[in-house]
Amino acid sequence: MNRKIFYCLLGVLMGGLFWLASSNLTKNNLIESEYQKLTMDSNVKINKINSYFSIVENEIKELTNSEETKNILKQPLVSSEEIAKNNVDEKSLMVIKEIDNYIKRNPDKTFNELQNDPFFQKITVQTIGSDGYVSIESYQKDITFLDKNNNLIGEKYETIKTNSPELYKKIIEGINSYDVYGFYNWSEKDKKTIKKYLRLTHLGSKTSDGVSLVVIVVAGVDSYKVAKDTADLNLNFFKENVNKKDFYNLFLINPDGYIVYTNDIKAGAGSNLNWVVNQDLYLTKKFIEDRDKNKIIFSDAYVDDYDELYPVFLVMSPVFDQNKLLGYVALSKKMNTIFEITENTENLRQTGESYLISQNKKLLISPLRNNHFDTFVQNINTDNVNNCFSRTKNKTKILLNYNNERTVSTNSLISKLPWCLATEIKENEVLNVSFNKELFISIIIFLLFSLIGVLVNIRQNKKQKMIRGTGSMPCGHVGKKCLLICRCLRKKPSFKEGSFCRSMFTVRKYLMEIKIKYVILFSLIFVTGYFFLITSFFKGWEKAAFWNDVPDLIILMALINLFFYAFKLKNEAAKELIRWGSVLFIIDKLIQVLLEEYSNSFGSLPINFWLPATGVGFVGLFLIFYGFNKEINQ
Amino acid sequence: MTESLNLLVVGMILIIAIVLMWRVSVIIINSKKMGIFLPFFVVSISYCINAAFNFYEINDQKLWFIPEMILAICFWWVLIILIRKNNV
Repeated sequence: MNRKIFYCLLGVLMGGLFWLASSNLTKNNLIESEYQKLTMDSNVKINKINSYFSIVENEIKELTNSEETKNILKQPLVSSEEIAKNNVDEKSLMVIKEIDNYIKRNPDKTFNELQNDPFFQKITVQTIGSDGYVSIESYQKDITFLDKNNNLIGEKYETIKTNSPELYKKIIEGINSYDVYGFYNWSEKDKKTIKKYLRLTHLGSKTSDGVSLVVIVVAGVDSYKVAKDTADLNLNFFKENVNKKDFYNLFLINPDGYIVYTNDIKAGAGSNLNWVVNQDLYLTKKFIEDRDKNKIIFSDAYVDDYDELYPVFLVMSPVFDQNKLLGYVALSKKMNTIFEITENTENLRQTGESYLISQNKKLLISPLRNNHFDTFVQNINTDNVNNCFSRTKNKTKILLNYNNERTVSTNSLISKLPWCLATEIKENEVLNVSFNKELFISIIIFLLFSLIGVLVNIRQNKKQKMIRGTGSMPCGHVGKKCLLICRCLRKKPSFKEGSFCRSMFTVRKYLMEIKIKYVILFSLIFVTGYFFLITSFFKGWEKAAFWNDVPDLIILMALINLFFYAFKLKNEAAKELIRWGSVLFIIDKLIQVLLEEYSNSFGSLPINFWLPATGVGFVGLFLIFYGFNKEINQ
Repeated sequence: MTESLNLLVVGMILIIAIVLMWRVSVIIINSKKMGIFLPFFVVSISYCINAAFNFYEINDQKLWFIPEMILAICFWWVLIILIRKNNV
């Protein structure tokens, strides 16, 4: 069989086999490479989040150990009229708004219907503080409409006059005034007199039968307790801390549960976390859970107020003075810094995303890249998240995400909080490569074998001609030496016009005489062209791996020059060594540029891909070195 | 498997670098032509850096730029020495 055809067929066979083997290998390689990138991205983010929590830990330690904190917690507690007034005023506004909205939405309900409406009772009859309450009155009916204990319903105002003439006076004052408020004294059944604060407000809406309602909110002053003589204390220390360190809220709590100081008076200052009204507060839950742990505790994210859109997280630390528990410092912080870290998708291509999940598998970040889910509502119960919390390594790198899409997935747990950072990228994006490299390499293999076939054929033809002793003999000699073109070129030319050796000799002569500046120009054009050609197969020249390519291309230029300059050398041995050395090193660099671009586009390649070219390069280096040595020491 | 292969490559680069350094040093000492053979000595140092980067699995492109650029400078240096010697 003709050798050219044989090698072409062998090339097709080898190329085909490579294509079959590599298609699966490449898929795994791409997924593995992407998985490594995701893991790296995830680790970077986790480290940043952990560093942030360490900063917060130091902040709370600083507060815990400060004299200012200890001084406040050592103060005896006193009642606060200001806080009682604030609490009642705020609650009054909320209740009025709620009741008004309800009546407007139910314009057909009469006075009696509303009185017996369970939902209406639920929104109107509320507890304030430890002993305060909301009650609804009607001047037209001259009776209490609804109140906390139900025992005053239907009572005449006259009955109140005996317990508190001041309260009765304020109620009468309310007949002609839209908004009445103030302190009054109230006699309890045991004849004890306590000070209370009241706010009486007329509702804008009326019932369907035309009855006007009045909301009365009352709270006892003595139930609210704050630290005594705070005027003498350095409260600026706390205000500065809150502002500079971006605290959302700062609470100083005494061992009995009283919030003796908070930066925001509306955040429960003076109230007690053990009160029924505070039962549902996240701060109360954590206070009861963690107060005996005697260490800094980071708590999960939460949203306490209705008007809050974004969650905060809580950190609590006990305060000791000479081993005596003085109370607790609790601070809450917004999660903006954490969100900034996790929402960074710089290394996550088009579909990748990383998001935080709390221990109860609720989403902590929203919106995600392509979905607007509700924080704390959306349940993320995927294998990736489950493996994260159970600290089980993902058995496979491809898992289904919250949308049941196949994704390359990785996860990491945060050290201080039971949160999981899930990082995922869609599989189809990872495998969607614009350039079919298997086919490209298969074609290269095919061409390589075809070239070998052509060269072997040429060589074989010449050998046969020489053995037969016919035709034009290169160099005019019969023998093995004449088979080598290089040897042929060294002889004085005595061959026919137009023969191969004559052409080679002409080329050689031209190369010996060519000026180095033309060689430099040629090498520059060659490497530039090669750079654009190779990068066009991958991400294009704009996104090439410049830091790797530029030195390689400069080396390539130097080696091309070295190759051509070797023709000018007088020492034959040096000439051969440097020429061959340059050729081998050039092959190494040509392959390296190709592999670097591949790595830049599809992720790092295993070391065995680099090994053959590097080996060839080393042989080239030594040949150049020995050639150089011979040239210098001739 | 990959780790042992990596170690093999690191070892190979290191051996090449040391052999080259040794050969260059011997030639420099014998021929007393330090300036002429210096580029190959620098090449061997560049390969040592190469081995270290491979060993510590440093993949930062900007860091790899340094030894690669040293190699590029050395080859141009060799070419210039040859041109100056032959004067053609």
